Amino acid sequence: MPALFPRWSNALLAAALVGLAVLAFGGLGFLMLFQRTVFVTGEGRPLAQPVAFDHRHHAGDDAIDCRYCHDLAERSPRAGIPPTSRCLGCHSQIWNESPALAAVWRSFEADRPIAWTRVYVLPDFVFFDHSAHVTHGVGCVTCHGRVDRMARVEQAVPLTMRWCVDCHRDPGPRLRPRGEIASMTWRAADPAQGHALATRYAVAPGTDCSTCHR
Amino acid sequence: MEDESERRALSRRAFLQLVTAAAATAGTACFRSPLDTLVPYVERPPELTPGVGTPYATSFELDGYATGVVVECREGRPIKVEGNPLHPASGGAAGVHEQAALLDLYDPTRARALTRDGEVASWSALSAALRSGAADGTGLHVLLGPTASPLVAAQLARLRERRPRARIHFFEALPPAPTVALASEILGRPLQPLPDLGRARCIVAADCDLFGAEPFALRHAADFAAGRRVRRPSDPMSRLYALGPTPTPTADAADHRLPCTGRAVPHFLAALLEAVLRAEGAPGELTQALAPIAAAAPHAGTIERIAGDLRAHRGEALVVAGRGQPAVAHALAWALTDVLGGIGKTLSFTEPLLADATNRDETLPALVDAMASGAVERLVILEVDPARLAPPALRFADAVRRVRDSVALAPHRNETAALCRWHAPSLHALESWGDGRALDGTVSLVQPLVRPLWEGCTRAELLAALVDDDAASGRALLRTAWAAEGRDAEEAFTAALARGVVEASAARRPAARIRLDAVIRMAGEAAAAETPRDGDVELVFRPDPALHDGRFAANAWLQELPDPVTKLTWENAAWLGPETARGLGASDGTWLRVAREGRSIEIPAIIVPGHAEGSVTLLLGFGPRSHLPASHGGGVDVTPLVPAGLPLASGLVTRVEGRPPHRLARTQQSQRQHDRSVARERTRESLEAAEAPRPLDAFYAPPQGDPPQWAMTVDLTVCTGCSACVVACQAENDVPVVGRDEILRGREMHWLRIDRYAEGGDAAPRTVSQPMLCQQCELAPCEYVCPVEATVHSRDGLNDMVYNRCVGTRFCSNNCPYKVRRFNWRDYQADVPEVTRLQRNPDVTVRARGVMEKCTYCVQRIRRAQIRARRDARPLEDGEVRTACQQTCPTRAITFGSIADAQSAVSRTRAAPQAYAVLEELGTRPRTMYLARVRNPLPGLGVDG
Amino acid sequence: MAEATAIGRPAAPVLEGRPGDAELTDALLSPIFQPGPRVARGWLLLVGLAVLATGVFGVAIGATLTLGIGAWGNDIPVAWAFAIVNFVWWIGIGHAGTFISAFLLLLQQSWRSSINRLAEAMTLFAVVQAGLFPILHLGRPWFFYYLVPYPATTGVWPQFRSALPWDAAAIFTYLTVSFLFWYLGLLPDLASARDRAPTRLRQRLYGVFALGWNGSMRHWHRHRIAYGLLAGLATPLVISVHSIVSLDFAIASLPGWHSTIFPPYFVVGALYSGFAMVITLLVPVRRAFGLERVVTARHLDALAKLTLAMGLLITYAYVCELFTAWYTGDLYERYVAFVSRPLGGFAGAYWLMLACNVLAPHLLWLRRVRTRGLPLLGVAVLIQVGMWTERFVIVVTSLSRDFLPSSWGSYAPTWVDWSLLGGSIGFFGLLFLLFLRVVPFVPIAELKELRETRPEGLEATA
Repeated sequence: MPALFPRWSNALLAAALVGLAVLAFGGLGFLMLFQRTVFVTGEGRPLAQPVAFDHRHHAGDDAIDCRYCHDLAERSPRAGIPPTSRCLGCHSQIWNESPALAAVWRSFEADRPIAWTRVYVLPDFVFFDHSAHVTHGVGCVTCHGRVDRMARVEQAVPLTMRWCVDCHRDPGPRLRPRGEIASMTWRAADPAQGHALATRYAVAPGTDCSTCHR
Repeated sequence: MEDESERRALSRRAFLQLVTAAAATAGTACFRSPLDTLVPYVERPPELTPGVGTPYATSFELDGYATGVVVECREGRPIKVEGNPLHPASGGAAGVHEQAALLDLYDPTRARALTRDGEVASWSALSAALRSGAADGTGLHVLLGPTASPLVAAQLARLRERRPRARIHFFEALPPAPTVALASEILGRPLQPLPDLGRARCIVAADCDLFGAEPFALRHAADFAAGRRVRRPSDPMSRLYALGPTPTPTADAADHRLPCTGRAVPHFLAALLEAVLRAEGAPGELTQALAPIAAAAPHAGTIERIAGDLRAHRGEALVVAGRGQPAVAHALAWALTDVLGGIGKTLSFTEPLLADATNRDETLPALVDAMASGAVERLVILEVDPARLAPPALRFADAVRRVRDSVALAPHRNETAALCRWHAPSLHALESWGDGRALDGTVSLVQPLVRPLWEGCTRAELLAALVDDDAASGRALLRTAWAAEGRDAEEAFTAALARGVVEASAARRPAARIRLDAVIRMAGEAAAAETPRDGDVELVFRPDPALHDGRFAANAWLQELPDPVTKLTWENAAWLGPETARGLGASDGTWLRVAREGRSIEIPAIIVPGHAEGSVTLLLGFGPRSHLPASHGGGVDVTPLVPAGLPLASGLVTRVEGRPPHRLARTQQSQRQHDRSVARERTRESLEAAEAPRPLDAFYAPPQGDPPQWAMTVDLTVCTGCSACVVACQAENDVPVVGRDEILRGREMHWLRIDRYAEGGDAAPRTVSQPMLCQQCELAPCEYVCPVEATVHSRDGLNDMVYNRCVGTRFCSNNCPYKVRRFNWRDYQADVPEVTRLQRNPDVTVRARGVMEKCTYCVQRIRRAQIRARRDARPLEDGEVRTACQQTCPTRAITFGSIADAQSAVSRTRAAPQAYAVLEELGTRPRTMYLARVRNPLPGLGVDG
Repeated sequence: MAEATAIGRPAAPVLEGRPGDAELTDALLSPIFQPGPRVARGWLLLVGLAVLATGVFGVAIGATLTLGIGAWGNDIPVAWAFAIVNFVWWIGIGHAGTFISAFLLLLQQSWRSSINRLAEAMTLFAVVQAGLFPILHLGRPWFFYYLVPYPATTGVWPQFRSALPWDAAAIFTYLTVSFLFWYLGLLPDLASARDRAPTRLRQRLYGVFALGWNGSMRHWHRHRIAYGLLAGLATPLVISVHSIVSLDFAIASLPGWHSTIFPPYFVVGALYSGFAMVITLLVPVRRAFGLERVVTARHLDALAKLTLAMGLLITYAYVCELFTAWYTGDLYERYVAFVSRPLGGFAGAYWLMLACNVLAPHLLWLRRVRTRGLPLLGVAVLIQVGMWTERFVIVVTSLSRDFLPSSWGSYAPTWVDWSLLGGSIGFFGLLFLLFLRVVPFVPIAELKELRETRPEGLEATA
């Protein structure tokens, strides 16, 4: 009676066993890593908008303060997406002929709002308050990045809970004087300054669950 | 109105509904959710800041009288009702009905269009029909409920003036007490009484639910509570005797409960008057005249002593009879108060406030006769439901069919609307312009907070359409009426709108003198007229504390609100005293047949300790309704038995043989404490003995946090169990409604429940109502058993609950000694109709299936206040954060604040001698503490309790 | 032999006669390769039934996952009920196998050899059932991995003060070890199955799973070492696993749960139900496959004695519980022990528990009951029922009457609850039936060894 298995099958069996182990643990490892990639966090993905609004031009060249359009940032949980009338506040005067504004005019005349595509999708179950941050020395650029360099706005930070909590544990390094909130270019003169601000503004965000989850 | 938050909120919630399914497939939310959109305004209204609520003052009318409220709007959506501190009837508090009225706005079963013979019709057609027929108003009849609204009164006046021959009728299933007519008889002029509990130190409530069914109840409760906050025996404390058949929040709050049938009440009052007069040395013939009536008085043994107690409080005594009592009872009560020097102090009289109060002879029977005789061509029914609520003997429905053109103004297509030719949907108060008056006459305005969800109109607008060809808008009508009052200035109007009340509009209080002889003669006649029949049981009819006469039957919050006394939800039952039940061989759920004048109903029994024997209480408002889903038609409709006029009758009660007992959907199984001192009580004298509450010691040191350290105290002495806090919590925290079946399974979701314990004999038990919510234990048993850190402690002493982290092991609930945690057994939030979701609080997570939830001291309010304070760079003030339950409590039984501040209100209440923590022996160190119920019984008074 | 002399009466042999190698091997492989037609038909019938029950199990699981826990009868206060009862019951049953194979191996109890494989298999399948329930029991099962410590993007870890993460770990460890132990012991017999298999295909299949076993001295040597080591590893697990399970209750402050006696009490209870289950399976199998010579009266006798011992221990635990409740003077403890359990809404369960767990085992004092199949089977089944009810009493009765009378409640299982219980029993049966016909359920190699090394064990000894 010939042998049941050829000689090489021993090696194969061993390999198979090892392979199974690798697959099991490797798979788990992959999932954990994948969660941390941009595919999941959605960073660095410029999104098309109904109106070809260029932050480089407005925030950059014209150096319009963020809070001119996002006027609620200091008094509401939400920074506020400017109403159509805000756009036309200027553009009824300048560039009012520009074809780029066609959609804006249509919105105004039809009294139908412009549906912008949301770029910063916070994880669900999180209650974020712009005013709490903006009035306590957290600059726009800290979370939204150099929008003055973005043709189309993209998500600049991972927005994972870990990312939020890191800052809540040690806000100092991310703080700046209230006057510089909207500045795109401000740099801390000396690293200690941040912690000084933290004490001045009495910043103690804490990491209680109910700070963000209610 | 498209707007940012609404879209966002809805889309987020829609996503929440799917999150379980999504997660189930993906294991974890992998790729970012499909792009959603931000929808800004085209032009943002100046007064509106997206993401921040705006409060508006308005008022709701019930039983003809208005209660002022403040309603929070988020991006044009009213999301929460609170009391208006400037309004006398509210004083900052809101009752169950004010709180729940919000849900009616988003009620998907509301009528959405004007119909004629069931077909959608045009408003112009309606107004044409309304003005067809004789110009002098011959054949035009209007039927409405009693109302004190000046606007409606003005419209009625104009109708009278322009259509002199039109007739106006009033109807209410349970009419207000006939006090105005009575006053004209024994005061010599039409007036109506206004009790002032703030000045009363010794009160006899004769079948009078001061803190529940009576108008001005919130104010009465607040005034009463003010005189009950004692800390040491020397503190003054008022005393309340509660007489009558039915255990009510008032009877529960009383120092002495004196159960007796409704018919016996006048006898007791007569006896009391006789005793007082005798002691006052009044002429003998008066007392002799009273003697025969007094002879039949219940609790005869107590009368002398109570009379003595009353006389000891000369000028501070108040005797008041309830709306369920005949005129004679009110007369005797007034007489007593007068003899005791209370008139002008504890009891004053005001000009009548109800529109047309002086001619109440135009009743429903009159209308029915007119219809039967074919004299009625046009009938306009304004927001009353006689087809459902009128005594069947009147045969109202048959009569209406003989009317040529009938119009019903009603929020739903109820029985009356279905009967009439036209059905005009009535607008919700939050959609309409109008006004109202509180019992003290103060005028408050009603302003719309949201554009009508569906078409409709108000009573005033419809009445105006009866006379004017081009009926003006609600606002215009209001302004004209306002101008007619001589208050022309727009500024004054705007100011009044902002404050919700009109300055110095309270009714005058002319001096009144009671004609004692008239009262006594009246009493004599009443006694003579009385013919008690043997074998009969007394039937007492009351509005349900939640559903009232049924006008709130569509309101799921109120349907599921446990009855303050029986803890029964979604249905009613016949209330019996234990002895009466034993006589019938009935126990909880036994089916009884209640018969009166040839009509009978079958209704399950419920045994209520403290209920008068020989008497049965039947609650209105239940039974199937054609315009509502079956789930909202629970219980038994008792209207077939309701007598015209006085809600007291005699009937026969027998046991239905062979019908299996009914399972009562109660949220509390045992009202006994089983020797566990959970809801504690003590007498005022005993306060001396009490040392300051010993520190709750625990084996492990409690966690040290930074200020503020949140804590709450609940004063059981002033809690009446009215349950306004339960509804307020439900509205603030999006607490789901689960329905009768789930209640039967023991799955109610109320974060805040009110436990009721009855101690002592069944005849007149001593009861304590104990609001039970998350105790925010410093050493929380729930926290250390949670495997995923879904419930953990915050620095400021809160027991945080993280819904999105919870996997639903339910270990926390098992280990919670207070059983205040609630589990989403099913996807309850998914059952909420789309339109009703507009009510949801955008600051609160909508909980998914399989997640544990509980009270968090309204953490969303705490955080909002903290952020506001920090933004303005100032510390939080004591009392700046108010939980929903605290805000709405009529008696201010709930105190909330930080114990890190020794001077805060809550710190001070925790230092009270009667302060204690429930189950403190477990060492959980609860942050919620209770002030034991303090009673002020008359020493040696020989009645239980 | 120890247990023989202890009773001072000659013990029956653990193996009757002196069968030859081939004879023995054929006898023990026959259930797989050439079962009698009656056996085969009966087997098919039973498998059919088991498949049916397993189907019901599937449906119930489907209902639970789609409708949510609301499909069960659970409520507040009784937030745990059937699922947890079933879980504890199954995991308890799962203890006897390891005890028999590992404990008795270390104690060199020769009689274990002929029954340990069956016991181990039972353990394995029981733990599989047990493992299902905690997951199903979660409100959101798809997030079960929150209980596993892993570096999440949230930076949040499980809460190690709770017993539940440890519970999960314990079950998983136990499952792994008992599988390895079972499989390792199986290797030589898989090899003999490979060599005796009638068809080429089956030879190949057994061959793959035999992992190239060739019975060489080297293989045997290493096998012996590994087996010993695993036994040493498994033995403490028998104690630890159910101790941890008991902490799911003991760490709570609930009257009726909050008790230091729980860990030993649960371990004993576990072994109790475990032995009962071994008997329940062994008696019919022995009969069906005519193995009276291999699984002798001696085995039944020994098992019965162990069961009796556990029965006495559990009785002691019950008494302790009552005593403690009384001795603490604690109002709530006393209420549970002396009012709600014996007199409350679920009093029936309580008295049934006492009847089955405290009274029934005393029948085992009688040698006739111990050594005869049917009566022994009867007692064993009673004990199974008793142990399930015990967990019901602990979980449901305690929860339904806790501290605040206002929140007292009741509990009524739904069809889903019952289907999950019945279904899991069916699924267990299915796995076991398949096991009977796929691998040799009596360790051939060990028996041969026994025959060689312990000749004195083969005849009735004085």
